[in-house]
Amino acid sequence: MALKATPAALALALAISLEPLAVTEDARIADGARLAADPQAGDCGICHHLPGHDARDQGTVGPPLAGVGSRLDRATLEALMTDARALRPGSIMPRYGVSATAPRVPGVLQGEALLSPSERAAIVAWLESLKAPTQATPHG
Amino acid sequence: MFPRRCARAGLCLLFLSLSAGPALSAQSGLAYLGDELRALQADPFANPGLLWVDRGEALWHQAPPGGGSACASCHGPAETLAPLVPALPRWNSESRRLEHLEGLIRQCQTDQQGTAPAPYESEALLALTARLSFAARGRALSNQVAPEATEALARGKAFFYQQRGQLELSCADCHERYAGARLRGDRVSEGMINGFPIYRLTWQTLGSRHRMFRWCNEAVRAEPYAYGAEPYLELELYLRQRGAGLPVETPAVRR
Ligand code: HEC
Ligand code: HEC
Repeated sequence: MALKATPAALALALAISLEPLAVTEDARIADGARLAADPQAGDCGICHHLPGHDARDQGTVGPPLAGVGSRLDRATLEALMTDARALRPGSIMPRYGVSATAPRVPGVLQGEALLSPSERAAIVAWLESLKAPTQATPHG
Repeated sequence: MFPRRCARAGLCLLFLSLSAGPALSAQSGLAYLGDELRALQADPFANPGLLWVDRGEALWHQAPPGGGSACASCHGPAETLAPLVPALPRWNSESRRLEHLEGLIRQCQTDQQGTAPAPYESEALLALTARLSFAARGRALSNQVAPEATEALARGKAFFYQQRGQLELSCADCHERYAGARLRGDRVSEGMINGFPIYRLTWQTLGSRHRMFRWCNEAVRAEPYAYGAEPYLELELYLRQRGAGLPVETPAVRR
């Protein structure tokens, strides 16, 4: 079937081309939420309660992350996601944006940060979106 | 020092028990278990680790292929070795090395029984280790360390406090500072070794102390050591001394 440049089709094309700006931020936040929970990526749930997850499967080593976007500004969140131990000396939160200097890092991981800049940016966007009060979670 | 909300005595206690640093007296992993696993460990019929204890008892009396003698023909009942177990690892002044239970069993297999040593984490080695440790149930882990092993003990302690791996975490970060907190679904214990070999639901089988060390190393993306490697023997020695007084409770059940 041949495509014709009808006014309706043009309007649709225009709407789609304008959409990404809005979608990008939402998609990034969704991406951040996924990366934070993914055991192969941030795996933040091992230490923190991530909003929307069953609290029984989540850590209590760090503070719950619900509402963190109201407590901390973007610059602080970025700093935390780069090198939490520089910002909070003595913390055990891993340094996600710098490569480890501790011994016994397996060869393939040497010189690698835990998360890439784009992964960290997505997680920061997600953290920033966690405004208080958040929706109630089933077991939170 | 303490958060201001600690003014309320109840919370203060909670705060202390969650983050009081080095425990005044060591607590077994049993103290950090939920009711169900506690009951399972205590149940003389349902504790899955007892399967290995039974197999171990059979192996103890079984002559190895090739005409060697059974363990029992030299040692008598497994119970005769019960006093040895809570004092391991120990310093061997001839080899000038630390030796632990698995190593002693394997050495007996080669030197006395003329067979190939059972590989680490094989069913046979787990069964024999479980049987002998079971014989020592209730006996307190010893704090005795030979003077020659003082440096090994210090290295074991340094290992416990050394951050390692891509996550840069030490044993103490989890098992001292955050003992009692939850890592995902697991309540973190003090990392004591008095229940080994343990039946771990995560593994669906029995596992040795060195398997646990390897697991904890890999959890922080650190290169683990081989079974029986010197650093793990030193760590084992340190943990035995750190947990001195805890009763042997093999076979423990853990998540
Ligand atoms: C090994 C444990 C651990 C892991 C893994 C971890 N954190 Fe943390 N995090 C902590 C602790 C502990 C704190 C409290 C800060 C301190 O130690 O003083 C913290 C603090 C924070 C804070 C500040 C919260 C506040 O209210 O001040 C944020 C945000 C945060 N973490 C996000 C993350 C994210 C996102 C991830 C994963 C990409 C992550 N953390 C992984 C342990 C961890
Ligand atoms: C990232 C956190 C973490 C680190 C670091 C860590 N462990 Fe563990 N360890 C755990 C968890 C979770 C368990 C399972 C729950 C439990 O039994 O404490 C565990 C269990 C254990 C147990 C079994 C305890 C029992 O009662 O059966 C021992 C022993 C142990 N760890 C020793 C160590 C040693 C030694 C190190 C350092 C080489 C270490 N751990 C580092 C998280 C950690």
